[in-house]
Amino acid sequence: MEEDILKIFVQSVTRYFDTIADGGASFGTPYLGGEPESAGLGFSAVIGITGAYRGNIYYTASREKLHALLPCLGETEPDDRLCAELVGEITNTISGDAREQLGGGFMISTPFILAGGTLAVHTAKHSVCYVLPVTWRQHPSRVLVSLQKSPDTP
Amino acid sequence: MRQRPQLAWTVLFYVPVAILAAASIFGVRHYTRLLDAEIATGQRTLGVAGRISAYGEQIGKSILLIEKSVRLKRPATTAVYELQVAADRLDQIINAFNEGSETVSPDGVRFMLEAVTDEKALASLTQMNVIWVGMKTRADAVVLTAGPKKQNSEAIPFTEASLSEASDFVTAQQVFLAEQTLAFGRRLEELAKHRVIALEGPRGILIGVAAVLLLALPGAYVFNRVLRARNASARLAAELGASQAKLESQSLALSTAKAETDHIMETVQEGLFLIDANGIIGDYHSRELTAILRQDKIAGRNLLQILERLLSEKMFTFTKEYFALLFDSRRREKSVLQVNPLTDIEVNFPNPSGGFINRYLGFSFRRIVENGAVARVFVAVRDVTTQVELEKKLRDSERHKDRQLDILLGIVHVAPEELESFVKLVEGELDTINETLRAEHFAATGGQGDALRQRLQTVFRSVHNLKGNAAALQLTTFQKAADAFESKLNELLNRPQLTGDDFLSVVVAQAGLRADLGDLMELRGKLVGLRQPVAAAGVAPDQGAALASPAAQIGAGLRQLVADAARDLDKVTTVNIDDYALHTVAADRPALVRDVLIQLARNSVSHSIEPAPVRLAGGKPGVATLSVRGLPRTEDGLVGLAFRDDGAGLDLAAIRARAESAGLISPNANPSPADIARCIFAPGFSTAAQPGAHAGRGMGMDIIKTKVVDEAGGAIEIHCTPGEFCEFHLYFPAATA
Repeated sequence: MEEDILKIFVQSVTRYFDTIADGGASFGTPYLGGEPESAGLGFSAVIGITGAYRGNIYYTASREKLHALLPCLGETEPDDRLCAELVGEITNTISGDAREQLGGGFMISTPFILAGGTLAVHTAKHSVCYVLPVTWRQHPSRVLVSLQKSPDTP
Repeated sequence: MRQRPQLAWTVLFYVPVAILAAASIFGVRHYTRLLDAEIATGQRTLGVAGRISAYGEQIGKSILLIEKSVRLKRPATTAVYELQVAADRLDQIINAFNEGSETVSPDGVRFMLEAVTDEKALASLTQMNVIWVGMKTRADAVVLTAGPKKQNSEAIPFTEASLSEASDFVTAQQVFLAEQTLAFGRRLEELAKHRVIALEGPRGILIGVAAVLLLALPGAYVFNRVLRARNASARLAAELGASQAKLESQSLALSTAKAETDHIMETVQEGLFLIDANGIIGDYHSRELTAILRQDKIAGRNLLQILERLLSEKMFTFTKEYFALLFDSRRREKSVLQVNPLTDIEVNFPNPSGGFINRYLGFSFRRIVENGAVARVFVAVRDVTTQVELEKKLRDSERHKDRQLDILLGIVHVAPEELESFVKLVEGELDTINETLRAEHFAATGGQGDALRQRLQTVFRSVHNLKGNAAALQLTTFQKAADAFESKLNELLNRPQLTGDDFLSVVVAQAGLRADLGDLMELRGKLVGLRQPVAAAGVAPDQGAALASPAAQIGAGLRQLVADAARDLDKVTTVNIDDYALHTVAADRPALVRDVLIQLARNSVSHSIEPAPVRLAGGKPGVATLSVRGLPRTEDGLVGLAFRDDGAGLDLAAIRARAESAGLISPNANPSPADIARCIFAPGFSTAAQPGAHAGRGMGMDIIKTKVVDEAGGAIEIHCTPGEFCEFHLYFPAATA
C-alpha cells in the first residue's frame, strides 16, 4: 500500500514537470530519511495531512533549480519570494494529486513555506520518512513523504 | 323515514289547497266574466239611453228642415226619412226601457235591454214617455203628411202652420227630454255601478282566497323545505358533531402518537429520515441527524449532494449507483440491501478550528413501496466511529500481538548474545541498504543502468545475508520477510532497464524490515528480565561463557541452520566443527566468518548434499557430513578455515550451461574447470531452476566473494571432486584480524 502511495507522488512530480517544463524530471533511488533529516535544499514547503492519513508532505529544491524553473512559468525575473511561492505550489500540486487518488480521506492543509538549507522533518511515531530524490536539468530536489494510516482508519 | 311527512303534507295540505285554489280561480274567472258582461251591458245601456236625447234632437232638427223645405218649396224627402228613422229608433228605445227587448247598442252590438224596474229610473222614464208621446204624435203627423202618399191614408197634408207648431213643440220638449234623459242616464249609471260593485265584492274575496291559497302552496312548500332543511341541518349538525367528536378523538390519538413520535425523533441516537427518488430528504427527520451530518436545515436537501462533500470520489460514485439500485423496483430489496456500501463509511467533516474531523457513519436503508414502485426510501444513519475504532484497535492489537508472538516464539530459544549479534547485523545491513539507496546521483547517473543494478545487488547481498542469519537463528519472521524482499529484488534484477522509481518497492520493503527490527528490539528488552533468572538458575558459569563466545555462537547457529535446511530438503546431515580453529579465526571477525559459513552451509545442503537414498546408492554413507576445520597460516600471513561437504560437489556442466546462458562464458570458449567454477561467484548466479527458502537466489557465493575478497581482502580456493566432495578454503588477512 505504501508503495502505491509513493507511486502517486512519483507520477505527480513527473506529470508536473511534463506539464510545466516539457518533462526531464528523473528520480533517484528512494531511501529512508533519518531522524532528524537534514534534507533541505534551499527552499522547502510542507503540507500537513490529516484525515484517513496523518503526516506531512515536503518538497525541497535548490534556489538554482527554482530559478531555472520559474521562467517556464513566465517569471523572467526570479527572486526568493517567487522561489518560495513555487515550492509551495509544487507541494500543493502533488498533495492535491494525492488527494484525488486517495479520496476525501486524504485531507491536505495549505502549504507552509520554509526557507533555508536545513529542513527538520517531523516523522510520526511508528512511521518513516521516504525521501524521493528528483533531478531536473542537473538540479536536485526532493519529495519527502512521512505518512501514517490514521489509527481511526480501519 | 323522510318520505312520510312529505306524503302527509301532500295529501292533507297541498292537494286540498290546490283544489281550493283552483276553485277560487275558477270563481274569480266566473265573476270576472259576469263583471265584464255587466260592465258591457251597463255601458251599452247607457249608450242606448244617451241616444234618446240624440234622437230627440234629430227629430227636432228634421222637423225644422222639413219646415224650411216646405217654406222654400223644396222636397224634404231626406229630412222626412231621417225624421222617421229617428222617431222609430227613439220609440224602440223607449219601448225597450219600458218593456225590455233586444236592441242594438251604438257600437252596433245587439243585446238584451232589461226593462227598467228601479223607481227613480222609472220616474224619469215615465216623464220621458210623456214627452215622447207628444213628440211622437207630431213626428208621426209630419211623416204621414209629408212623406210619400200612403194608400188608403186619411192623413191631411201638413201646412206651414202645422209644421211650425210641431217644430215649436218638439223644440220645447227637446229640452225636457234632454233633462230627463240625463237624469235617467245617471240613474242607470248608478244602477250599473251597484251591480258592478255587487259582483266585485265576491270576486275580490275569491281573488284574495285564491291569492292566499296560491301563496300558501309555495309558502308551505318553502316552509316545508325550510323545515326539512332545518331538520336536515339539525341531523347534519348532529352527524357533524359526532364526526367532530370522532375527529377530535382521532386528533387526540394522532397528537398523542405524534408526540410520542416526536419524543422518539428527538431522543433517538440515530439519524432517521426519508428520501425520494431524487435523493431529497423529507421534512421530518430525527434531531440526531443534524448532529451526525453536522449540518443544520437538512430537510429538503439532497442527500447525495451532502455525501459528495464527505465521501471520496470513488465511494461517492458507488453511492450514486447504489441509490439507483435502491429505487429500482425490479431489483429485489433483500439483494440490494446486502450490497449496501455505506455500512461503515469513512467521512471527513471540515473542522471549524482547522483541519478535518474523521468519522465513520453506518447507513441502512428500507424501501417504501407504493403501487409497485419504490416511492421513497427510509434511511437510518448512525455514528459508528467508536465501534469502528474499537474494532480497528482490536484488530491492530491482535495483529501486533500475533506478530510479536511470532517473533517471540522465534527468539525465545535464541541466546541473548546471539540475538544481540543478530540485531546488530540487521541494523548494519539495513544501514548498508539505506546508504546504498541514499547516494543521490540525480539525473546524470542516478536513474541509469549499471549504477542502479549495482545498488540493487548490494541491497540483495545485505538482504540475503540477513536472511541467512535469520535462518541460522530460526527467526522465521525475518527469514520470510527477507525472502519476500529478495523476490522483489530478483524481479527488479530481471528487468532489462531500471530507473530510480523502480526502487520504491525496495525502500518500502526496507521500511518493513525496520519495523520488524523495532518489534524484535522491543521484545528483546522485555525478555532480558525473564532470561536472567533462568540463566542464573540453570546454566553453569563456564557453560554460559562458552555459549557467549563468537565461535560457539557461530557453531551453534551453523548446526541449527544445517539441521533445519536438511530437514526442509529431506536430507540427513551431521556437522563437525573444529571449535579451536573456528575460535581462532572468528574471534576477531565473527560477523564475517558467521556470514560466510552460513552461506556456504546453505549452499551445500541445497546444492551439494544428496538425499540419503542417492548417497547410499552411490556407495556413500546416508548421513552427509559438513565440516569446518582450520588451515595453516599462509606465507602471506593469511589465516584460514576450510568448509567441506561430502556431497556431489560442483556440477561443472550445469554451471557452464547456466554461465553461457547468462553471458558469462562464450559458448565457443574452452574454459578450464577453474574458470567454470569461478562463475558461481557472479551476482545472481544459480543453477537452481527455482529459488527456494534456503538457496537458489544466486546471491550466497556473491556475498562470500564480496565479503572475503572484496571487503576483507582475503582469498577463496575451491577444491572439488565432482561426486565426492567440495571444499572451500577461506583466507582472511591477519592484519584485519
